[in-house]
Amino acid sequence: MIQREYDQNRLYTSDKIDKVVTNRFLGPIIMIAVLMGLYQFTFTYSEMPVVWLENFFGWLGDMATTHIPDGMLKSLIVSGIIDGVGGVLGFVPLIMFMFFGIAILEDSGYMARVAYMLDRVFKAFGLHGSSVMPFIISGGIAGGCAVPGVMATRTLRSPPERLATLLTVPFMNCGAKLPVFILLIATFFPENEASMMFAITLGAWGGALLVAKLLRSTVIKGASTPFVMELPPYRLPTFKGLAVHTWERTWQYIKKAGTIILGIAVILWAMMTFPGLPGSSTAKFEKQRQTVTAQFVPSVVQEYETADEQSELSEQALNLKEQMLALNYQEAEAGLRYSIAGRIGTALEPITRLAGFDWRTNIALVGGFAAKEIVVSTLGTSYSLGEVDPEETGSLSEILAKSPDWGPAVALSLIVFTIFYAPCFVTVVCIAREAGSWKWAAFSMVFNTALAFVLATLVYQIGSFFT
Amino acid sequence: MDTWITIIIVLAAGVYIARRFYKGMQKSGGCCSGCSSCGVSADCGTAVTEQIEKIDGL
Repeated sequence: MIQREYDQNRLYTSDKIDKVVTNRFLGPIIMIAVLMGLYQFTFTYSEMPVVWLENFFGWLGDMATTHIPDGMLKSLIVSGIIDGVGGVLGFVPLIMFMFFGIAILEDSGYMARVAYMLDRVFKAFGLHGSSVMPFIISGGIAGGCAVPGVMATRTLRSPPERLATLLTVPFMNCGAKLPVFILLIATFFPENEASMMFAITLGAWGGALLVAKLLRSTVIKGASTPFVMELPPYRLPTFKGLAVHTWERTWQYIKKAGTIILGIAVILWAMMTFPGLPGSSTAKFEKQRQTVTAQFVPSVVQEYETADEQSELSEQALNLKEQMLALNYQEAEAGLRYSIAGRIGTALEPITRLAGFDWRTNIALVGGFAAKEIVVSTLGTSYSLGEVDPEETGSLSEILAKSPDWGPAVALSLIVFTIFYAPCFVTVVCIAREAGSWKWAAFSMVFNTALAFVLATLVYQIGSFFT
Repeated sequence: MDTWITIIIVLAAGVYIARRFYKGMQKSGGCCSGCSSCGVSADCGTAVTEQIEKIDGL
């Protein structure tokens, strides 16, 4: 007969670890160190694979440009698909490393300790201890999704606490927002990647909690309810478990980029291409080209027209080339501005300029309502459509770094706007269902966008003084 | 020919996206798009419970 003894007073290993890890003073310090370690690990080890993938998509774009005859189909494949979806897929290694780190935290049992420690903070802001789980599922650490986060609010019994939670979970850094943050951090803050990601995480949590407090003290009043939580014992994660969890999530990211994001990128490309410049405008640019060409002797014009990418041009032929490229650029930009998406972006520009966003960024942000990854793919497509010099092509990151419309203040402003603006379409539908009314879904769209715009404007205006 | 192929691709993309979103709205979970990176493939309703269990350790 096997007899097992259970000593109620015994301090198990997990309890001993918890005495340190969840300590009132040491706990938060350890939590900050763990998060910083996670982001440092992600950015350090994923740097090389990201560059390889970026080079691969660059090569693919060059191949398509060389082998597909000029025309609409070439533009769709190069600017719409390769530069658009490629921009999202280029971050797969980084996302994979991030998921691997998060899987370690989840499988070891540390994530439950994070929820436990945050319970104290949540109470102060009018939320429930159970609200922590929807927040983490939505991307509290990074890389979740607001849809299951909103669904997870079903675990909350008190209707006011539940409503406040489901209206604030979309502020978390879901996996769809990650490519936007990563792109901007890598381009404008390459020296402080991990610290910036950590600051974004803190900003999202801080914003969500302050909004929750505001809602609970105004439109969603009601008493708080108590919270009881049982902490699971610590476990050593198995490699198989980590690999399965990492792959599942990475595959979802790749699958979404290859299906939904690809579909939306194609539609947005069409919106950025049609109706195309009217004949009178095209004729005006053609006339300007003829005027420029007439200023040079025929031998220079012939040298320019017959030169390939490797040829060394004379000073005069170079001058002609630069003037022609400037004209081509103006025509491409005029065409993009004249398109359906361009008109929407341009119409919004007088307002969004306050936050530092130009018309191209506006197109990306409007597209981001369908899914947040679209912000990156649309920026890729819009800058690709404006490219006229095959020698000057580069990754989206390089293009943004060179652009006079972009800088650290704009990047920070866009990061803040992306954290807080209207949730994606699917999340809005979920909020409507879970809240039982479209009124709250509409509130979430209007309130979040207004809040995001005010914060982004503040960040841009203050940031412009220092940059 | 070039233009026709492009138009067909754009229309196919439009129909595909509309169908995905419409189907998603009919589902109980409301999730249609194989949410990016949450580890949930299609039906959020059941998968959410798994996510909570993972975090909560229940």
